[in-house]
This record gives sequence, C-alpha cells and structure tokens, in this order.
Amino acid sequence: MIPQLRRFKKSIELGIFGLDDGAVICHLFQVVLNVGLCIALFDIKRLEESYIFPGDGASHTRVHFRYIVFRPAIEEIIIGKIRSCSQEGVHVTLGFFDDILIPPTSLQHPSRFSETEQAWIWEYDTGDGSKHDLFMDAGETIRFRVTAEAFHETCPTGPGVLQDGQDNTENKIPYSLTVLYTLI
Amino acid sequence: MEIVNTSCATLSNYEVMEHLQFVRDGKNKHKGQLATITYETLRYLENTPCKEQNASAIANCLKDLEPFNLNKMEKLMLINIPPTSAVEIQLMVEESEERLSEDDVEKILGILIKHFPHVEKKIKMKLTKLKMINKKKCLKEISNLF
Repeated sequence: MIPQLRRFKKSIELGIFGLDDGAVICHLFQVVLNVGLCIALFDIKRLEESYIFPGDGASHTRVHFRYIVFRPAIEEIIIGKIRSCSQEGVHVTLGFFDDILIPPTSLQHPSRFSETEQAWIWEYDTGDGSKHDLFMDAGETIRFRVTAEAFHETCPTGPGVLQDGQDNTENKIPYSLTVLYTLI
Repeated sequence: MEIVNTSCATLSNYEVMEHLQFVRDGKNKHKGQLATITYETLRYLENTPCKEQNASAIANCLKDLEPFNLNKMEKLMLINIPPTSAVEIQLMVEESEERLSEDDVEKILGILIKHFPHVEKKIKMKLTKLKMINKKKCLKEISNLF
C-alpha cells in the first residue's frame, strides 16, 4: 500500500470543531478525485488568519495540512483477500477498500468460472497431461499487481437529469482498481 | 479546497500503522466514518508483515539495500511485503534479470531475512497451513465422488 501524503488547503470552521479534530476534515471527503482514498490527517502545516463572513457566526480559517491517502502506484504488488467471484472476475478486498477487480483476462491461464461453486478455478497443468483444479475461494489471501486505476465523479446531478429517471450516480464507484492476479 | 501537491511523500505500511495507532489511542475519540476507516485500515495493516517491523530495522535495511540501485517504489515494496524467494523479487523489481545477478538476489533475500526475521517463520506456518487445506480439499473431493 502506498498511502501518500498530500497537502490541501481547506477552510474549516474552527470555532465549532477545534483544529485537532481530524474527523472534520475526514467527513468532508472520502475519495478525492485524482488523489485517492483519504485515511487520516497527518499534520497541519500552517494556519492563516481567520475570517468572519457577514451573516455567518463561524470563523473561517485557511488551513494547510497533509493527509495520508491510499493510492497504490501502478505496478505495485499488494496483499488482499478474495471477497467474491462472479462472471466479471474476482473481487478483492483490503478491508478498508473494496473496489478492486481482477478481470478474467488477468487471471491465471487457463481459468474457468464455476456457476455451481461460484468460484474461479485455475486449471493447473500438472505436466503429465492431467489438470488439477485450484479454487479461488472467498476469504483466501492473494497477492496482486495493480494495472490500472479509475476515478469517477460522484457529485449529485442536477434536478433536470434526475427527472429523466436516469440516475447513474449511485452505481458509480468513485475510485476503483483493476489488477492482475500474481501468486498465492 | 485546493490541492497543493498530490504526493509530497510516500509512507511505508509501518509508518501508516504507527500513525493510525497514535490516532486510535489519542485523547479525542473519533466517531463515525473516521473511526471506521481507522479501524479497518489498522486491522488490514496488522495482518501484514509490517506488524512486527520497527523503525530502526527498516532504516538499517534500506541502508543495506543501497548498493543494488533499486528505485523508491521497489524498495517500498520490499519493505512492505518482504519477499522470501527469488520469484517474488523478480515480480517486484522491473527487468530484474538484467539489473540483478543471481548473487544479488540471494544477497537481497539475506538482507531482508536478517532485518525482518519473523517473515521466514510466517512462511513456514503458511506452508503447513496450505498442506492442511490441500488435504481437506482432497478429502472433500473424494467424498464427493461417492
């Protein structure tokens, strides 16, 4: 895992929450577009002057801070657990991050999907012409290599779009990884 | 919100775990989403080899790895998931066959085991566990036949 430190400028309501409360910042975003999954506040670099805006009782302060972010580099190898298997491939979870998919083309070759077992099976060639079935059962620990990442905007759409009955935003995953299965 | 720098530093699993433990045991008890993500991330990290690492071991290990000309990402992977076989190093290091000789690979494995001795024990445990699972699966397959 490569949680990386990123610096943000953010105005938060100092008067209400107090500064050392990382919860304030964390509640504001979980996945930041093109940055990654936010884990925890690392440190606060600098505080600027506070402002009070007309019609608002709270004071607003610009805060420069660093945040621990989960965003694995492409080609990085991570340990995860199999969450489930489906026709789409093998879904992997890290516990705190679930949107990881191994597409069938990235599984060991040759592999097949068993409908009855609901699992992908690697048909391991034993060398003497026979095959040995190796099951990718849910809950098993695997190692995988990150091959691609994708960010999707999940901002709520305007009222005009909603009226069309086409609300795709709920199905969109803000941050997902496509990975290659490497070895157990 | 303005993002000044999308990645000003890279942290190893161990550093993140230490920071999260500090957050969890801190004075302010967090609630809701932050508590959940702290708990889940810690649970994940405590199941990885970084649980038994410490800061000085990592620093010494990095010093010993210097002569091999590895890049930052590769070193990070070696620390986060210490490999125990040559195959694993080949996966982690790009074009390892050209950049590292067989002796180098052996040396790297030696360095990692020297600084993170617990990794070796884990592997042995895992192997015996795998054997057990295979036995169970074989038995299951046999019982399915009848």
